[in-house]
Amino acid sequence: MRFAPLSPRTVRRPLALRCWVSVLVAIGLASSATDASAQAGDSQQPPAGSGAVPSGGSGAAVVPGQQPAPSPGKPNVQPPQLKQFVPAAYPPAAKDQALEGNVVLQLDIDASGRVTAVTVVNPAGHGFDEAAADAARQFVFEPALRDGKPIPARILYRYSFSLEASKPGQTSQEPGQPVTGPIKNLTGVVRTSTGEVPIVGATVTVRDTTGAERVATTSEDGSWSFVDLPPGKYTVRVQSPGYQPLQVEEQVAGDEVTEVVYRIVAEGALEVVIRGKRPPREVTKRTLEKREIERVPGTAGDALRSIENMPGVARPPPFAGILIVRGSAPEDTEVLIDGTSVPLVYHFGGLSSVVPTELLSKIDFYPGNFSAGYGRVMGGIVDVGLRSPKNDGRYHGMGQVDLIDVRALLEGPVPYARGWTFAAGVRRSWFDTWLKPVLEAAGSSVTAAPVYYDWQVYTETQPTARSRFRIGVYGSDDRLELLSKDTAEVDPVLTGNLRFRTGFYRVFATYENDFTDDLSLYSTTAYGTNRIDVGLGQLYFNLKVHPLTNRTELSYRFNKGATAHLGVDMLWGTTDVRVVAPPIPQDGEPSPGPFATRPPLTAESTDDVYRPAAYLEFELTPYRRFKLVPGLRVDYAKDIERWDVSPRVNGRYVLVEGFPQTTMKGGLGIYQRPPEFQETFPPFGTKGLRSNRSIHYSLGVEQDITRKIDISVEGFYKKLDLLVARGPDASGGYTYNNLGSGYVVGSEMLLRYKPDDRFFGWIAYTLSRSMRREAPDQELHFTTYDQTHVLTALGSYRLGRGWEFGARYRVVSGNPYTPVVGSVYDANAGAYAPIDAAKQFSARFPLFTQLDVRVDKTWKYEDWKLSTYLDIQNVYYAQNVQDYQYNYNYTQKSPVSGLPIIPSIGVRGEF
Amino acid sequence: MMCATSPSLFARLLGGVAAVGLALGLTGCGEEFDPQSKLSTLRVMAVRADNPYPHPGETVQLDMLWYDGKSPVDAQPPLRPPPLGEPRLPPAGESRALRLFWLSGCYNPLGDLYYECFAQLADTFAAAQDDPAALAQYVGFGPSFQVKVPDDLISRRPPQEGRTPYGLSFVFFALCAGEVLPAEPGADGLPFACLDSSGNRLGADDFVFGYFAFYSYDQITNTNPKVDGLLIDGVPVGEGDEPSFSPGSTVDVKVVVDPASVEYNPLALDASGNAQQEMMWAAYYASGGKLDKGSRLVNDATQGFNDDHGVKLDLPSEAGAVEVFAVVHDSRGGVQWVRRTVWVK
Repeated sequence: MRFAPLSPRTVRRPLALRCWVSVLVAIGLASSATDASAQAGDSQQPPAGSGAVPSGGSGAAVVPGQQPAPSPGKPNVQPPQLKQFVPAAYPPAAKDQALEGNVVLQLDIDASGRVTAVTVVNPAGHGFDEAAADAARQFVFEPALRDGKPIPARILYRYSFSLEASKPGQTSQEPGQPVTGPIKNLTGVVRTSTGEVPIVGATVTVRDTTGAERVATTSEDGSWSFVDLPPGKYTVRVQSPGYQPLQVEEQVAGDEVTEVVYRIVAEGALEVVIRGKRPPREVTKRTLEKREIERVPGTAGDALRSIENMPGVARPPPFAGILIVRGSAPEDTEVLIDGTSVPLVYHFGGLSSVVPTELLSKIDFYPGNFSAGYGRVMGGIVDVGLRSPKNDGRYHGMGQVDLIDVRALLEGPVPYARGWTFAAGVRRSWFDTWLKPVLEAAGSSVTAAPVYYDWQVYTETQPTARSRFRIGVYGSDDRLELLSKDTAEVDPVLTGNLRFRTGFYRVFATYENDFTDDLSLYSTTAYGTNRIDVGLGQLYFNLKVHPLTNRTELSYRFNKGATAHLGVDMLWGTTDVRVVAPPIPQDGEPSPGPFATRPPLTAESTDDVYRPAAYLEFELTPYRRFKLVPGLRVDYAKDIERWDVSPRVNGRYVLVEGFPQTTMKGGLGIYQRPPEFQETFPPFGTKGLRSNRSIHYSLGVEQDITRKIDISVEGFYKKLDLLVARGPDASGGYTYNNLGSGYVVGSEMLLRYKPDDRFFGWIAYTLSRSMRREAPDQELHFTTYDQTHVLTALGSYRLGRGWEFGARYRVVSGNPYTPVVGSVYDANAGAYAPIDAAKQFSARFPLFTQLDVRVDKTWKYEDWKLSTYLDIQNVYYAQNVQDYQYNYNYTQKSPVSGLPIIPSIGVRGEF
Repeated sequence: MMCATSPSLFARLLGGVAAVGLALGLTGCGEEFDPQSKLSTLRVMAVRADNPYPHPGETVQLDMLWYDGKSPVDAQPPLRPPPLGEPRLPPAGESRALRLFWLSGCYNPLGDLYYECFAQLADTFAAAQDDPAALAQYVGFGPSFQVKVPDDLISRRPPQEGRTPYGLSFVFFALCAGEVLPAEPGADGLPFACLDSSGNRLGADDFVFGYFAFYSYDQITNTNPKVDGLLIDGVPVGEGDEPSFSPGSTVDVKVVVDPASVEYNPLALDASGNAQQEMMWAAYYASGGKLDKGSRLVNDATQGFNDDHGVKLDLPSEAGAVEVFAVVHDSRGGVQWVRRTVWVK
């Protein structure tokens, strides 16, 4: 699912849910309307088909034989009574995935008691709707009576599918059986929101309308019950340490049984889905919970940094906020927030991501073979979703301070705007307070100390039960300015006034609507500004872009085996660029020497950007175990005046059904990325280029090992061609072409222990090779992003009493580099230019290893929570070689180690 | 454009360069290495063109500033080649015999890259190998060399869109404490080497190979920075003045640069379309003791003149002469230097 469902479709959603095995009755008489709302007792009548839960009176199951006494002067109306119940078949796929659900049906019953029409009012998906409807069509009722005469009627019927219930959709009493002895007329179980674990020792309190309370405690299987509760309305409250309290209203009939399943949510729970290898049209399953993301050592609780621990993702250089996915360059991976592309992911290239983890609902990560809904890149996709503000009628907030920044968050109902909720977050770095003196002591004159901000404000409403509308703004700003009075020996151009400012903002609006069970719409539009102002001395790059983007997708389900998704992915904008800079050296090219005295290239342009795209994708399930997702995407880029057509197909086949399940999967598709700005923009680039192209192949298997452990293995191959490459030309610059080619081949493995109350962890391993050549007659060479082995093992364990301990260990092959074998003196700059070995990337840095640990302590109070953490990176001070530094004439070198032991500490308060 | 949807590679790299420069500027490049400012080996510190931007058809005079840190007495022995057949004996004193030769003939190489000159030079010399007079215009010896810029240097280059037409000339040089002779390429790939009297290949301490490039424009000119002298502890030290200081003492050294010599660079416009000032920096060298910094900013393109461009020199504890050099560069190839001698007594 791309977004949080509009309504509780399955009990696996991380929201407080309940289900009860009871029949909701609402009468809408087909023939006459005036008295149709009258009903025995004091129950209220919801509108037919609304799916609303009636309150008051005998709104639950009706026991045969207990007909309410007619009110004098009013028609005696009796509801239909179920005479012949037909159990629904539990959908096998849902059962295998341990899914439960509630389906609310609208049943039209004729005067003979037969069901003439069934309409799904509140669907649950996963095959529940069809199963419930099929069964309900076979129900036989005693018809509704009006003054003793049978009449047609329309009722709402909730069919509950529960793996714990004796039979789905059935009350605990067979119809027609008399009631004897004490009745546990309100009973149920309490489980975690993930659905797997019963909560032991939770307190369940029922309070009637007079304020009288009864208390029960859940047993080892999470069950509880109350005996002989008088009929009426009750407020039920469920509490358990470490979980958000749940409060619901229940209507209890005296001699009926109301059975419920309550799922309570861990404190601050957030479901984040990392879909590693699956096409996006399938929901399951590589899920990282918020707890996992917040607790992975070395990431400071940053959700986007947690992606670096997944298979297929290479280790980035320290403080380099880049994603290297399956050997692809960083510009080959795109990051979107709620479907909108953003230009920057991290502050200052890697300190923290621009959207705080606390506001995320999901991270969809596709390392390859992604849907036709995404394009303009060849590597991977990271699609981050903002979560809905909390909607329990109360205000919630959070404040945190650590060594780098302070942040705050507030959310809740919008005052005086019923049905609207809001969330507002802000963050500011504060290391400028101590970094500025350090820089000045080192001889720099600091004009603007490094500082970053980010902010998010949005509000949301649900115009209908099946739609959602969200509008808001988010943005980020990084800036730094200092005057360096010392020049660097390697290149005197590295001196002078350093100014750095990057930022962006987006005003966005998102609308989603499930019009019917078969038709749905998703649309998001955003407008904003991207700004980059970077300068050093006389060199600078100033860019301002005003993009307007829209992503709209219409989905239609023809039948159980075929769904179509038709969408557009539009980008318009204006750009204003000014640049004074030398030609940028590319990886693998010999050093051109110092830039200090070379005349810079100057370019200035104001232009329009227009890159529309459209796609069509099908989800086909020709038979139960096989799913095929073919798609086609067409892109146009006005700047290069080219059309790119990208056909793709993904598939899944369940080799072994049931548990332990074995699933095969694979994909094949074309992925294209238009050239970069400097590759086509004179005088830096060359006009007439085509898009870079990649063909993705993947084949893999997912295997359940135990209920808590699964493993997935996937092989991938990416054939690269039409890569933009360049060569020096007689005009003094470079001519770009599409003669580059290469490949990336590898395999990924993820062995995962799914989170439970104590522990989570996984082992991720990637074996890969990334090769490239600049022209057909040249030899293949490693790319700078090649990391042959990437092994990550991590885990976190709850010790109890609020303590949690985690560790992460990484072993990664060193990156390739080109050795320096000599030097030549550039008398213009007064500095030396290195002479590289003839064979590019012919050497490799030593193996990288690092151990990070994290300790958390949480104190829970009645209305708020305080937590603190200590996160230590590189615990045993592994001096991993990240690079080599040389003396002024490259005759001596010494290794440059990575990070030393870096502790980070933070304190957070939440309410 | 890609910049509308993802960070421009260009901006990331420039930012990366800035970050590297920031780091290097703050921490220095390898504190354990001998700094560039220490003259303990054979070194070239600068090459100066009397006209940094010569027009086509003009002749340029190149002068080299060099120092042999392994010759403790006289830093600049004669560098004229001996008559053919006569042994190369060092002149009187303890200085080493050195060979300095120049090689021109590379014009407008592909991509303006120095290493694209080698193929061009090979063709040039192959074509002229039977004509010593033709070869003579490309080869020179000694600390000075003259180069004539071809008349058609600018016109014969294909125009580049968005760029002012220009020509580029490369002159290579080699300063060797032995003989420069053709040799099997070493690790650096160069087809020649500096060999001692026994035929052994000499390394970077005794052999400097480099290049000097100058641009030619139809209209744009450039002059060298104007250096008015050197201050030591705030006191001007004139040519021939040789002040003395006590062993182990620290003195302030600062080159005096005329701010009016900072020119505007019409090829580097600011965001408003106005020409920015040249960048200018001063590199300091000393034959003894230790300088706290090797190179200092003299003028920034946006912030202007930086008067705080001096350094500190920790004089050695041994008595003797210390040669102090300050070389001022601008970002368009202009160079000027000053040299003074101080004594430790």
